Amino acid sequence: MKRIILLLIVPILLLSNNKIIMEKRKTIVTIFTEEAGKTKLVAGVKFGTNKLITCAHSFLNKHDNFAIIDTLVPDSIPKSIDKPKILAINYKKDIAIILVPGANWKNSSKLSKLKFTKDDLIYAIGSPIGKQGGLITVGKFIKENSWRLHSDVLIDHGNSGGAILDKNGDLIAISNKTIILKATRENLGTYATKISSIYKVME
Amino acid sequence: MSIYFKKLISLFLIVIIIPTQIFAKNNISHEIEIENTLHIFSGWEGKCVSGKKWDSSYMSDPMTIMSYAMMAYNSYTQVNGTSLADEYGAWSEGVSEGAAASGSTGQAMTNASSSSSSAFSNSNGDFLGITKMDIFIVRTAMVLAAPEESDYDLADRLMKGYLGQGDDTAAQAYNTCMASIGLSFPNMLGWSMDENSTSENLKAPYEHPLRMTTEQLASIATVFGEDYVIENYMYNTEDNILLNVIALNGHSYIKAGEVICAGIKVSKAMAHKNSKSNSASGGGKGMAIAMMAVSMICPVCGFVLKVVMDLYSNMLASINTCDNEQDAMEHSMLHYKTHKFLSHDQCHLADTYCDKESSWLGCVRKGYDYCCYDQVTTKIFAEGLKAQLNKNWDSCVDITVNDLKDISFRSCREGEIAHINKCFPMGKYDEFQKALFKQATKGISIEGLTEQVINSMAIDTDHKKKEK
Repeated sequence: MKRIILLLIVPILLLSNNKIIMEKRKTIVTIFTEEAGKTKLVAGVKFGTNKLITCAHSFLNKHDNFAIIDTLVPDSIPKSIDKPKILAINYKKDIAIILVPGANWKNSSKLSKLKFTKDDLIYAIGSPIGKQGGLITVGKFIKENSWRLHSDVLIDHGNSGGAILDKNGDLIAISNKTIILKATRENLGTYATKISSIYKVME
Repeated sequence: MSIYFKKLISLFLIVIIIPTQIFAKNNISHEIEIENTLHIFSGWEGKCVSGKKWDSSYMSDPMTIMSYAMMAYNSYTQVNGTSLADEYGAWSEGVSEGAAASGSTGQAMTNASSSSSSAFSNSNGDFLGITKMDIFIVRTAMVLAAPEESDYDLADRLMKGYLGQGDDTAAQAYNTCMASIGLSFPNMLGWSMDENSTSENLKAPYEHPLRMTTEQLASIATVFGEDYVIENYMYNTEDNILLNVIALNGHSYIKAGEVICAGIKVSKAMAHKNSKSNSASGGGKGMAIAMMAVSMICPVCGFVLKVVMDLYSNMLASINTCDNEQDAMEHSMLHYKTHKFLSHDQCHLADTYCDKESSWLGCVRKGYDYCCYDQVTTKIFAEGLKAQLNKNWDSCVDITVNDLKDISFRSCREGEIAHINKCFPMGKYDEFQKALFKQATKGISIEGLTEQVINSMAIDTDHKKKEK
């Protein structure tokens, strides 16, 4: 019964949130890296005036060759002399911070440290190219520890490094991994690094 | 004393408790797999063909040669005396009569077995017929046993190895297993020609019970149907570990042997491959019956008809793996994958060429090379980039990270050329923006969100249907 009520109410609530969440797609960029001759892509999230947060697993080391593209706000990545560089990287928490010299984001994310309950809906936004135009998926919070958030929001290839947003459209975590049960290939949800870890990584 | 006691406790912790904990943790981590979600931007080379099949490889296939030899020999003996078919028919009738005299086929076989081999008699009594309920119970556990791509590959290798082609360890193991139950290739060949020049197992399969699991027996039902298993097998449970299964004829003995030696999934893949090749070469059941009727009236005509039919189905029949899903599936995994991506507009045509050429008819089959991408937007993006970077379509993986650093998203104006003026081709720019908007709108639509909420709450499919 609870599910049926949720099914009726949630889409109405989501519709009112559509505009805010749709607008948040502009905070996502695509980051291309190279591995074994193949070009791979993940997502990145704008924050501050000229920084990006993304996942660490797309970079084998801090000096990897990479390119950033913003298809939704094409002029946001300046063609400056100083190329973007990785400011900080933490492989354990799977998070990296990139500095984009000369950038002045108008659509950067607002970080949120809100506490969640099990009924809170959260949104994931992926790479604009790989994930078909910043496809937005919706899920529910499951549990959290000091640095990681477990939710059942569906993510796929290209979502890594993308944003996990709360109902207000504020950035709460960065998508990392899908958890799969080996025996049945059942999807057990998604791990995302909480934004509270970002400050520690920056330190 | 207390120091020794403490040391003993420490040793106990180190040797017993800690490894157990580590083992337990490892066990948990083995059950869960973490997938890093990178996305591959690079495309892959897709292929499809359209035109006549023009495949002459069937002529060198040992099975085709064997079948032609048998048909030719049959036609010859039909014209010059008693045919093998008649002899086989007489043998079959003999068995049927014996069965009728004993009340039922099952009873006849049970009697024959108990008199000729003590292996059949056991404390539980005689062999029992199989009921639909028996199979139904076991089949419920067979849901996960559908063959995968690797099973089809292995089935291919085993079938070739069985015919003496290739030198594969798995095929050798399969051949040894088959030979151990009287199903070596020479025995099978002999059985198909004359029941006397084969193994004892195939001459009287009901005297040679096979040890099978219930799942193995049920897997035969999933391929050939429950009635086939009910009519062709009997069993008893002597030791509650495995079933003693007797096959009532040569064909069912062979099928059981394949399941035992190749495993459930691979034997299913083998059966699927066989049925596919039969339908491809024979034109289906209807054609097979028609051909049999012609062969009975005029064996030579039947043989000629078979040759003509094979020639038609392998050489002159049409094939279109680009548009036809069935053709693509039968051709190869690459063609099937290309067809699937083409149907979702995820491939760019890179090259057209003549795939098969006849000296008389010219080009009989055209080939198409594609560069295919995981997403529609990725394909449009790659098309725009290639134009701007002035790259041709010889390779699908030639866009590097360094190329991406200098590209421009400015839409080309009238008269501007993408690679000279460093702009995104006008048509492609619009197409890309439209695709992005379309997909994003699809992603955030009310129906999409409802679906996602349903998914995220893990409501089962039936429930979902009811809600709709």
